[in-house]
Amino acid sequence: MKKIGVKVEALSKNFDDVKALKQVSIQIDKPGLYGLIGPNGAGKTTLLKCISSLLVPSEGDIHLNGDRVSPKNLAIRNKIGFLPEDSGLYDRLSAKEFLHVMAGMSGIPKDVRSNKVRDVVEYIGIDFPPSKIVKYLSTGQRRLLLLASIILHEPDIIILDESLSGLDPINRERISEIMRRLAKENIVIFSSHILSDIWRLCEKIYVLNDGSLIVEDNPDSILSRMTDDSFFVTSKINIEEVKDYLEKNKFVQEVSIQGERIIFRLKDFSKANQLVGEMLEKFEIVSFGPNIPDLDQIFTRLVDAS
Amino acid sequence: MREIFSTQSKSFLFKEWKYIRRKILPLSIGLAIFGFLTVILLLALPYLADFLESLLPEVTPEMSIQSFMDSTNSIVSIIAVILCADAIAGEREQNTLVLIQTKPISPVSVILTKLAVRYLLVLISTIAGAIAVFFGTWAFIGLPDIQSFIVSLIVYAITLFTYMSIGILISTIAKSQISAGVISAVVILVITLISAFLMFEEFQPYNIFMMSVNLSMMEFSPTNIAIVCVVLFLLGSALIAVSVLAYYSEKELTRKKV
Ligand SMILES: Nc1ncnc2c1ncn2[C@@H]1O[C@H](COP(=O)(O)OP(=O)(O)OP(=O)(O)O)[C@@H](O)[C@H]1O
Ligand SMILES: [Mg+2]
Repeated sequence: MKKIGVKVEALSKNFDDVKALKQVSIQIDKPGLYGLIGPNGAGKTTLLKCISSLLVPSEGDIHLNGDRVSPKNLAIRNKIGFLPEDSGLYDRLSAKEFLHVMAGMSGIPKDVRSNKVRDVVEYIGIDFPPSKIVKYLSTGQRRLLLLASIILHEPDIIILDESLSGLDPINRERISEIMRRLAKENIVIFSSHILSDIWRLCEKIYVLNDGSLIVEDNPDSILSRMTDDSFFVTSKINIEEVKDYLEKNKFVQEVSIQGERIIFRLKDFSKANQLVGEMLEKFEIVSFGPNIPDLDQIFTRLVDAS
Repeated sequence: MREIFSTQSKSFLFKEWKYIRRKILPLSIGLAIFGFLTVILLLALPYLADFLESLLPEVTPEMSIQSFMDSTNSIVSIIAVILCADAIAGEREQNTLVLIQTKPISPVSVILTKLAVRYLLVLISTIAGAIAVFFGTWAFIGLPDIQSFIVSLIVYAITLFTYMSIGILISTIAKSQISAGVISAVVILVITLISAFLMFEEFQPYNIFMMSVNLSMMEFSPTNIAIVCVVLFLLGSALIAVSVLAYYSEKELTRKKV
């Protein structure tokens, strides 16, 4: 396997008096999908741009595959494929010409360019005619074209800034699938401010808030950290009655109402079945289960905790 | 030098060419008509007002050439810098600069390619205008001196390079195409106006921005012409170097834009 890796050491970036990144360190040394998440203005784009050598850090160092990133180092740019958050495309070219230009600008010699373009079009699954002028492509088609254009030179490290935002569910799934495929051999880092985007996909999640890296962990352990051993129950009509019933039960403690849900803990887990049985008989119970916070709650809690 | 002819630069050139090429025909036709009109206007001037007839000297082919070179030096130069306005500022506005900045293409080739295609466009159109003037003058006034006309055009070509480097530099540091276009046009206007008002005879050999115009009416030594050309070229190159540095420091993204 190729030796690949991203190493960010104590990275800080200031824009005049705005501290966009504060001492961020990240180390990734095997292929996979890595999610960067954080609220608007957290510094995700800034971090990804620093890694892609589009911004010069104020402090700290970045190494890709062992080579130091700097704007002078033109060769390192071919190790990276960077999908910008709000990039334009060359509107007057056709999709095919655009890919050829981008391939050429990556230094792919003319004689192999056509093959490369054809392979990538197939890999990405571009289904609109390549002769179509870029100007007339839809947002989803543009995203696919841009994604194709950044992997033409077969980069080891693929950086996608908000690659899933603004797309319909079908295209999201399509691009997620491409990302999963790319992640088999490459390091794919992508940002989002929607946790559910990242959740199903990533090996590891980095949470950035206000310029600092606050969490770095895999989804499962984040989830288990966020989950306590409480349960929830929802009922169609008599929510207060259920609450009363639970409060009187001697195996139950800490009963509270959160929106539609009644949350409670059990003193003795072995009594769970019995309790459910009794409740089903007495009330119109709609659902019951362990109280796992939804992704938005996890996100909010992670950010609030910092 | 090798990087200027690299695969990267050639592809970038292709893209630039795609954007510029459709302007060539309209601009060439426009300038040819413009050239022809300068001849007609010169001939029509005495008839516009009776009193002018006695005041104006007889129209000579040299006058025709000079009036063309004079209007070219101001009008074509302004068109040229406006065409430069979109060079970098345009990419910045369209958010496509990042596509270039993530590719291993050197700032020098980016700036030179941007300049080269625009320069070629204006040069071709100016030649179209010059041909129109030459034949117009020949047909209606008399055969102009070809040799001195060509020397004037060559000197103008170098002046144009300097002007367009100003345009490229302004486009590199400006925030938008519009502001780049307006600022460049004003700068060129000021330069040509100041140069035109410096009319003392003894200053003309050093009046670098007017050399292409003056050549058709005055005698200059070949060394003098060569020195002016070298000065213009060095000035243009220095401006290009500054543009490359400015483009390079774009990466910092901390600089305030004009
Ligand atoms: N070029 C710049 N000049 C000045 N400030 C900037 C610049 N770029 C970013 N910032 C500031 O840095 C901070 C981080 O911005 P960044 O774009 O990295 O956030 P983000 O996490 O990508 O947000 P979003 O989810 O909205 O894309 C913000 O406060 C932003 O205003
Ligand atoms: Mg962002």
